[in-house]
Amino acid sequence: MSAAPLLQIEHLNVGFDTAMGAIMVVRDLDLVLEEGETLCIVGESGSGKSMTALAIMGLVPEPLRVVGGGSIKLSGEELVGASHRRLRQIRGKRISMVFQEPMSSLNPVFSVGEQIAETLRLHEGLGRRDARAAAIEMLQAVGIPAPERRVDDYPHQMSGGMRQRVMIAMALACRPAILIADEPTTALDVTVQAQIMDLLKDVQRRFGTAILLITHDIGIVAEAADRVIVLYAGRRVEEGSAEEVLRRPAHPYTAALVACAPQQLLLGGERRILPEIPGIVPSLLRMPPGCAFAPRCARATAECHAKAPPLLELSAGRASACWLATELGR
Amino acid sequence: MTLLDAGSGWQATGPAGMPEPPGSDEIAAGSAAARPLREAWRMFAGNPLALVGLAILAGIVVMTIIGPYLYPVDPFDIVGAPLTPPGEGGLLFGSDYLGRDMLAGIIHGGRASLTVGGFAAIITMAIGISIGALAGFYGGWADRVLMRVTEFFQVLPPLLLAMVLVTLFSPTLTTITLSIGVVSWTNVARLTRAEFLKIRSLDYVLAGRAVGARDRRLIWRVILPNALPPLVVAAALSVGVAILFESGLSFLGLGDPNVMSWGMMIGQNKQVMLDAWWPTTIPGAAIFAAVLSISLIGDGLNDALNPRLRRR
Repeated sequence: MSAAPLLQIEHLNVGFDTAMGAIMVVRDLDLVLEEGETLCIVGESGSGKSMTALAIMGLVPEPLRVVGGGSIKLSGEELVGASHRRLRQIRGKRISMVFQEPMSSLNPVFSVGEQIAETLRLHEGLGRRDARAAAIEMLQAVGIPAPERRVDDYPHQMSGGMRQRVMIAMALACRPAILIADEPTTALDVTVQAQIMDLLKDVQRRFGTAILLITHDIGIVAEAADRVIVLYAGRRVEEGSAEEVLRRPAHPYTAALVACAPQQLLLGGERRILPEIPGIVPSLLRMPPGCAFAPRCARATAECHAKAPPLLELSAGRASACWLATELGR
Repeated sequence: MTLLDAGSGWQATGPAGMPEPPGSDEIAAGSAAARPLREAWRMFAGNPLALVGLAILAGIVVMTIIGPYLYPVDPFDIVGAPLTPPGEGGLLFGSDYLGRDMLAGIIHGGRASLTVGGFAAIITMAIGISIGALAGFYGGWADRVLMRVTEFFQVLPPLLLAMVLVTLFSPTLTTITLSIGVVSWTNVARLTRAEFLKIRSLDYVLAGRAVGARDRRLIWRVILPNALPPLVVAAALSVGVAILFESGLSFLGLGDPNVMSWGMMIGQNKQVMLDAWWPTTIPGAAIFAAVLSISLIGDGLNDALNPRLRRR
């Protein structure tokens, strides 16, 4: 219990009320992000991972909102319920975000340089000339060749990978403590994906930024994460160091995700059919009474269908929400 | 994505007047060519009808600005016999039912018509964009209140409302301009609102929020520039509408009695329409030319600024 962690989330619930009852997109999420580390949040579409990111930014879209007394603390400062003014000061300055779609995340009518400079002018009060120079420097830092010329380019003159580099330059312009990357490589070609992941690791090393990496790709977890949180239907099902979680998954869902990764097949050498997880994520309106994954789980027992398992701590920093966790994690 | 690709595709197959050596490494020139405004201008300049419109309008504007100095005749002075036909008695456009110089009337009247048209369009756009932007950006109750206000103005017949306003505040160029602006902003507001509704949910607006931009900045610096193309077209067309409006009011005798305008010329000479064609036809042709030229420009802008059309 020394200094407050860089980012600490406790009991975060995101949802909204409907005539059919409250719909919860994120349930009772806890997480801690320490300086300079990379934490991965993994899950399928609809698992609540992007909502978690937006909740941290204070940008949860209507009609969703943070409910039920959860807390998001940045170096000890509470962000849930903070004033709009304070949140604006934090966004882009202390916490930045990179989005999935580099094609549509840049404003098409301004040059990329103007857009990077804008962030600097907003938060650092730089003048036009200084901001431009800083923008060129940032473009250089994210590996854009001839930055003094590309600074005047418009987004449509750049490739997807270039634009994602620009987004990263924009996000890092004010040297934030935390970079949230929401599926930063999903929309890119495989070769470019690797470049962007290398870039993120590189800037993390140089700027000491903590990265909250949101992905559905277990391969990216293996490549980049220090620690990993697996979300399923808005709930944490497993948590731990990336190495342990990937090597010895303590939840059948994680195990299935790992098995589904094509990399496994490449290593195996032989050709076989890529396994899939049968079924789909349950509707948020019709959550099963027991474990949310039970209907798709090959190992589900009567107990799993009847009662939702709590998140059990297996060892320090290692937890799983499965009745069979101790058996699996061994 | 396709939209942006289309933009560069258009460049590649673009105007034949700009041959670029295939191996050219002129990145500076390349990026200058891609500036959105220049692209739009190139598109506009490739449209002959739009250029004709621009030429006509430029001619009219130049005429109204320097005309009174080149031809210093007071349009209210009686200079000859009533209804002198064009070309006779040294009067190029003839004289009206009181014997006033029609040419002087056209020159001075153009001043009033264009001034009213221009300023009324500015007022129309200012009110319409402000209300539409706030309604579209904030949604919720702000949207409901502002749209009910818009509908209130929409259901009132604009010409009647303008007539009431002008009679209430005595007809001067200023009150006429304000009245026209106040009765014609509703379409602009609805257009702006629709654009804002569409754009506010796009990724780059969220990205703008994520770097800490405040609402004012998102509205004016992020969303409005992207909503401009249809609004520029609307602005051009609203100049034409305002000119017609002013002519209509003057025709009904609600123009500024101290300022000659094209509508007033038609209105005052309508009684002699069956005896002499020129006192009504010539100002009518002037209104026609001005409004047509503005419509052509508006269409040209529409094509030039519409990214979907740029693909072809």
